Amino acid sequence: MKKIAEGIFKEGKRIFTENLTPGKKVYNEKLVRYKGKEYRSWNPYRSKMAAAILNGIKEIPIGKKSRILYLGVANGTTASHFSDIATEGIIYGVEIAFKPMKKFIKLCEERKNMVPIFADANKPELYEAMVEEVDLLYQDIAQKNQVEIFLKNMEKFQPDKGIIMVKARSINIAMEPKKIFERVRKEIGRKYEIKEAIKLSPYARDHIAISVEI
Amino acid sequence: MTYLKTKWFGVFLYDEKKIKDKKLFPKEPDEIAEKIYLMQKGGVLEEEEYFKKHKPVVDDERLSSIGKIGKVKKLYVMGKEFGYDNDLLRKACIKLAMRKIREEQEKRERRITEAVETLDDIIKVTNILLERMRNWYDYFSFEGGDIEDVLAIKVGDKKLDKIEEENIKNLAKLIVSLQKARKDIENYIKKTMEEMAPNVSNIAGAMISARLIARAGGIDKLAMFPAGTIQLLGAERALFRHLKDGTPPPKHGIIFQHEMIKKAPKEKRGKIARLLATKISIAAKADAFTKNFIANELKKEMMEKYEEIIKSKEK
Ligand SMILES: C[S@@+](CC[C@H](N)C(=O)[O-])C[C@H]1O[C@@H](n2cnc3c(N)ncnc32)[C@H](O)[C@@H]1O
Repeated sequence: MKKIAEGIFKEGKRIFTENLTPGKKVYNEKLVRYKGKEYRSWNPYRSKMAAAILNGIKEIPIGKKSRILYLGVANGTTASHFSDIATEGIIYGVEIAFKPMKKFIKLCEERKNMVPIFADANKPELYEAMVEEVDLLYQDIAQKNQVEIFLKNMEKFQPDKGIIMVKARSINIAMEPKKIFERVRKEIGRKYEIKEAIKLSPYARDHIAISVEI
Repeated sequence: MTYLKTKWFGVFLYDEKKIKDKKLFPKEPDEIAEKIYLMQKGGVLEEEEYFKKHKPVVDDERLSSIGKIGKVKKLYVMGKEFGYDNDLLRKACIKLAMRKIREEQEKRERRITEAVETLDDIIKVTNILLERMRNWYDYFSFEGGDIEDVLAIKVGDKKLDKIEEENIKNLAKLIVSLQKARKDIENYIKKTMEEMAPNVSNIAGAMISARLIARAGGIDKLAMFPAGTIQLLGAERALFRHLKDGTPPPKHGIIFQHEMIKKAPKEKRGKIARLLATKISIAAKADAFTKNFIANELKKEMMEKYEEIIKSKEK
């Protein structure tokens, strides 16, 4: 097991994070033991961040003390790995649908660095009071206006960095993904400096990860 | 300039240089959850009310009665500086999220989807079982095949015949109870719609209203949709195919089940769908906002227009 970034490990073609709650699985991922520690396998087909890492994203802006605002947290699959890494930080998970939110709340009861927010990410003023300084905004919301949501939250919370997982098909199914990505890059680039843009295939089709810096 | 900002652990009055005054919340997850809940509902906290006399600048519409709306200087404070740690925030947020989820679950208009989908499943299952029952019954008779015929069937005198007979009859009884369940659930949906959306269900029928409301996510949401959207609700797949592969655009979704459209000649269906959707949209606004019963007039207008469309020579 080789460390490839803070809190992230690799063996063969697989990546892992150290389990914050040993013995417990979050989404039926593999648990492995290595030198007395337990690691959870991070599945790139289930988590777009894992896909971005395996596809060679250069900077992974998450560390031990990271404070992350996560929009579209769903069940907390990806967020649970962030929680493994940011052991002394905090992850605010925003989700609009109550079914995944119920599962996410269960996770927040076990993992002390995660906070559930049942709200619409279109309305950041509704959770502004709960979210203290954050250094990363991470968004994975498959909605037509996903870019607008991202920019609105970047503006409101002013984190140093942002990552958005863009799904072409939910923006416009008739248009070629390449064109959509170009347009999205332009739109985001007007406000923030784009550091990287990484395709997520073969793990997620017609998706890219865009990372920005203020 | 004096600014006012509310954080999860208290309310702060400050200016360019320093915090001038503050009101901290009790260090209890329940109380903090309650405060945030009130704020999210658009309410003003008593702690915020207290600072009204300073006429502070605020940047949240919710506080427009407390101060002037304007640009507010960012306030850099964190709970832990005042002894409010992340664990307290986490517990309060868990409480709050659970409360809001409970509210969501209590909404009948969210649950009506389940009833509608159960009805669809019952219909499907009943049809499958009816077909199976008839196939089985065919071995024993040249005619009939209705439930009563099956319930009166005599297979033979052998021990296995008796057991087989009992099983065929069980199947028939199962279908009878499914049919009863179907009636019951239809009645439930009808009653619910009469209460939740009297205007829409009068115009469109209970089943179509229930499906529209379920798809929209509530009568309030349906009332916000333009008629064009209502017309196509439930035809999303056909719409995607149209956009993606250039197949002809759909003319109607759920509302196609309405007799008025079903019975109309093909070339007039688009126009009638448009008419129906327009009236449903008006009816939904009445159900969601004014609560006036206007369905009789709406229906009259609709029928007049309908006759016009049917009679007219143009397509
Ligand atoms: C693709 S899933 C996210 C999967 C998750 N990020 C993971 O990797 O574990 C997108 C989620 O965004 C949520 N969502 C959609 N619109 C939203 C909104 N306006 N505000 C908050 N969440 C939203 C959906 O309910 C859904 O759970």
